[in-house]
Amino acid sequence: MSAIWILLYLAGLCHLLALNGFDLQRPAAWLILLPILALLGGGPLRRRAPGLFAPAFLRAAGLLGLAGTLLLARHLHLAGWDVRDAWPDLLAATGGLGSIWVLLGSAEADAPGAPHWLWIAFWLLTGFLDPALPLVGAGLAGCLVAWGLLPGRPLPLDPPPVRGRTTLVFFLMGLTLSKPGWDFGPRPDWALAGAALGLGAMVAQVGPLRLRLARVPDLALPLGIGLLAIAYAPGLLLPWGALLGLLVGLAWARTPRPFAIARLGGALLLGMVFSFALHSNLWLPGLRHLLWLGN
Amino acid sequence: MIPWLRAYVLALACLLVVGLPLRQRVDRPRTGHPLSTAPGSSPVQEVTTSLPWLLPAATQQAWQATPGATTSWRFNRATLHLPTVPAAPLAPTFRVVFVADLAPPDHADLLEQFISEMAALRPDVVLVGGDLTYAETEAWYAAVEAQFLRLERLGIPVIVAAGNHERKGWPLFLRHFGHSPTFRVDIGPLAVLTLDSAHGRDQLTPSQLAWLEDNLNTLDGRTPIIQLHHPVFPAGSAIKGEAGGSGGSLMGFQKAFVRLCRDHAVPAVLSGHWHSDAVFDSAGQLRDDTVDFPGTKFIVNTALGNELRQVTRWPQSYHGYRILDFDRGRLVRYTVDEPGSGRRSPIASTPLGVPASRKGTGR
Repeated sequence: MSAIWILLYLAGLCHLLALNGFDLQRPAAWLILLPILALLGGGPLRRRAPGLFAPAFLRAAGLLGLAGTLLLARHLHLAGWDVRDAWPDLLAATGGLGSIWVLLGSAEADAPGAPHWLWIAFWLLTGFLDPALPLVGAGLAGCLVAWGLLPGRPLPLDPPPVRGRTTLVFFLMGLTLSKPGWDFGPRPDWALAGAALGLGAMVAQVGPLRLRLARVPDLALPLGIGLLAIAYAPGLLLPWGALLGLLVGLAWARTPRPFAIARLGGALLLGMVFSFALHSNLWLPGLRHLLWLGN
Repeated sequence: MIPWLRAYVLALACLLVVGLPLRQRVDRPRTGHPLSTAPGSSPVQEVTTSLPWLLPAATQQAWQATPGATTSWRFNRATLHLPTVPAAPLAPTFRVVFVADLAPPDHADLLEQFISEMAALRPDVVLVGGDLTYAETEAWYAAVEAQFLRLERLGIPVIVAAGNHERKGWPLFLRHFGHSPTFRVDIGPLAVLTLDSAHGRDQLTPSQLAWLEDNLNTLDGRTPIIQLHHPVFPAGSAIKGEAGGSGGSLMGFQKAFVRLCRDHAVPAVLSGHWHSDAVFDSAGQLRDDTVDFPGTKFIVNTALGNELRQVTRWPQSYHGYRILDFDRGRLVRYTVDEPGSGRRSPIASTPLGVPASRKGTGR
């Protein structure tokens, strides 16, 4: 569920906002920060008030998460997100809060397996139809987990272990994941790279490849993911996505359990924000020639 | 296994909830995205539907009733390939008007005046190079679109590029001027290639450059001209001001872009953004000495209606637009004559308010 929420909801929301704009001068725009606040601060809240994450609350949250993301996708489909309109903010916040509540209450104890990555591939592919649809994948998965219709075990209450290199890997993941979105802009082809990523991660979990990948040193993960941020070429979109998926799948599998959702989700978000700053020409103009291969 | 199968069934149900009732968005033709009409070209109609591989009944009937047309799909993007426009002798002359950085609402009279002048001038096509509105309101976007529709009713197609100001009201821009800001229109002897340089503030991206290269490789004898909002070159040694903070130029893939223009003999690249006239050669030098230099003309146009600025040493400053005359596909004129001398200015665009009879010769 952690990979599903982070890659479908969190990354999907960032992509939507990068496409359509984000104006914090409007009070309603602050609503969509609520799921992010829950991501960053939900762990301690669960340890202090576990009653808020009782099954009944989770089921209600799961339904809210599904309803919010579904209505958001229906509202935005074929039209785009008019950032002056408060409805999408409210729906995105409801969908995000509902689904992360489920994640905080019932995140998996094991690494995501092949079915999880196939789910991510499927919903990232629906981004071709509309960039808001991947968020529905997170909302639906949250609802199913909350109602016991998808496997999900209670998250241990112990604080998760902290590893510096894992945080770096997730930061680089956020930086690199966004590349096709920046490249294609309103064109939907970025979704094909997303689907390839999901499939690549799935392949990394099955069969003999899993055993071979186990020999890949840890250092190769930040190096590989970081290099893919530079070595991006639209002509090699699918192999690029699949290779990134292999590394992402491997990184998720090697992440210590329980999954440090706040730290690693926050690192990925920070990577996406940094990527936004780079590609939008906000800061660091000297790095611009590193942004795209051949530039 | 069963929980996941159930999950996928519910996933399909969710897609139906989002996509039903079946609906569509017309991506082409629409304001700013006309059909290709050049002899020998293959015009297409494009719609995006709410569910993949399904067209609303009315569109399906209309498309099926179009003789000689075929439909192709890419998930929920449907394209109707219309029959190739029959080959016909081209008119010897073809006139393009390029305009950028239009008027904010408090200068609506300048936009009105431009439309009136176009009605008198009757160019073959009007290219709008970005920064259309400067006001992110539905009413003003609708007003600007209505002005373009007036031109289209006069038989003057309008081709719209996105500028950096469009990013502030992006959903409004998409709603009024289409969801595909990188596109091609074949018209007369020209292949007009529109790019979205504002996507990363002032950059092309790899997929845009690949798209441009593909299109330059399939010109079928047409003359390519390119419009994008950001000037390709900086003012360099010719700098005089910094354009109120927006004197930037194309940064991402600039060299590759210039090389493509050179290799494919692109006669003109049209930009706005500076609110100031300038013309550069392929080496990035301001050419205020002559109009007769070889290679691509990288033309920057003054604003139609917004604040005027001086970016280079070129001293003239006024609201205006640019007339480009083509003779059998060859660019023969892109500046106005210097007043009284009969000599061509190396850089000057056409000021608003000049009578139609003085806006060019040779028609």
